[in-house]
Amino acid sequence: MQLKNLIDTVNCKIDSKRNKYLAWFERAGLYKKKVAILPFEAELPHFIQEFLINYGAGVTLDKALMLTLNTQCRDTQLMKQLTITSNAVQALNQYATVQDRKEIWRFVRLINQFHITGSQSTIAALEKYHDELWQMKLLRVRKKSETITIQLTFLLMLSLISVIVVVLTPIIMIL
Amino acid sequence: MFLSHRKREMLDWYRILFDLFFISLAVIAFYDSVFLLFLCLMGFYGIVMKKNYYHKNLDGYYLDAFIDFLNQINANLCIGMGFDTAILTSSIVLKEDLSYSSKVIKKLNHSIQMGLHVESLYQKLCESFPIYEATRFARMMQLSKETGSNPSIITGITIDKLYLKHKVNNEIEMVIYQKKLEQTILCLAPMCIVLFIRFSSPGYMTILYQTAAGRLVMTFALCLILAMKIISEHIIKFKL
Repeated sequence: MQLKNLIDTVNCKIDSKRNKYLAWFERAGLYKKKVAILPFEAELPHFIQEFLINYGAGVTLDKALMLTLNTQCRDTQLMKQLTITSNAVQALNQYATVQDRKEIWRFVRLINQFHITGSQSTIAALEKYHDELWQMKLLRVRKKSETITIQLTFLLMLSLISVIVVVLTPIIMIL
Repeated sequence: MFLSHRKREMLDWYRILFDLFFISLAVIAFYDSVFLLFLCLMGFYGIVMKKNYYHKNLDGYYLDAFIDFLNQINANLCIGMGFDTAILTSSIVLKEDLSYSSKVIKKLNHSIQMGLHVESLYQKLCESFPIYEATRFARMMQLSKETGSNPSIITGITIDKLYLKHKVNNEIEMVIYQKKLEQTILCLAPMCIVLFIRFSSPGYMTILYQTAAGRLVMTFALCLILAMKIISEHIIKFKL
């Protein structure tokens, strides 16, 4: 029990020191804190696509959103909001307020505008946003592929070590 | 004993051949043992037969065929035909077309002539294209009956969105393919170097195959290469 407490105290101290130094680096602009992508953010292009198709079938905004949320959404927090409010637009607004993410707000703002005005130009804007999101996904893949190239280069070291071991061992063993 | 035609189609033969080549080269280069090679190949055959590890992802193929299918019936839907009539009319012009989408149209046409209801047709469509997009399209078409919206609008929007998705997915696949090729070369290169040294000066490496210490060193070297293969496969399978 005492050992566990000691480990916890040490871990706590390490974490506080780490956070302190990371905050310094962040202020100096040398380090940027990574923000994990939410499940809803990751599926946003699919979500908007589904919503546009549902809306194209001639249903109301709320029903189209409900249909999309029920079939496409895997975010438990958003589904929880939906059970509390039972109104899709309101649930999305509350979710956006809680999460406070740029991409989610952009989508929710357009939905709000459409909910208030009913203008078709917001649907056109949503379509453009949907296309942009797919392009962004492609850009993310390209960026990731560059990172992979560098990672694979580092992995090359393992094969290099392996070949060096195989080539040098006979010399060492004979000597 | 042998694989059925359906299972043969489902397998990713590129990966199977690469792994087979990798295992054979590894055993020959690092152990020089025919018995071990036989054992490894037996184990590999067992994995191919039992596990789903080498199964191909056919979503892209079905999506491509589904877009083709929608394009074929969209022209008829645009002039005010219903889903079943559009299928009937489209099947007349297909004749000897052997693409998957045409086969589905012919199958649906056959079902219509057998007197199947439109709801059952949608079900058959979902069975023929086991992807989410087809299920959604069928659901939308059923919904359009309640809302009274034009089916051609639904088809048009679906085609638009699917085209974009398909295009982006293809480009992503292209990027991943390049990385896979890099990984393949990376994994095979050390084995080729070892084999080159072995065949260029056979006596030099004999000690590694005949003594216990030599075998241990070779096992260590092979473990490094296996670790590299596993890590590189893990890196390539990224999620966005």
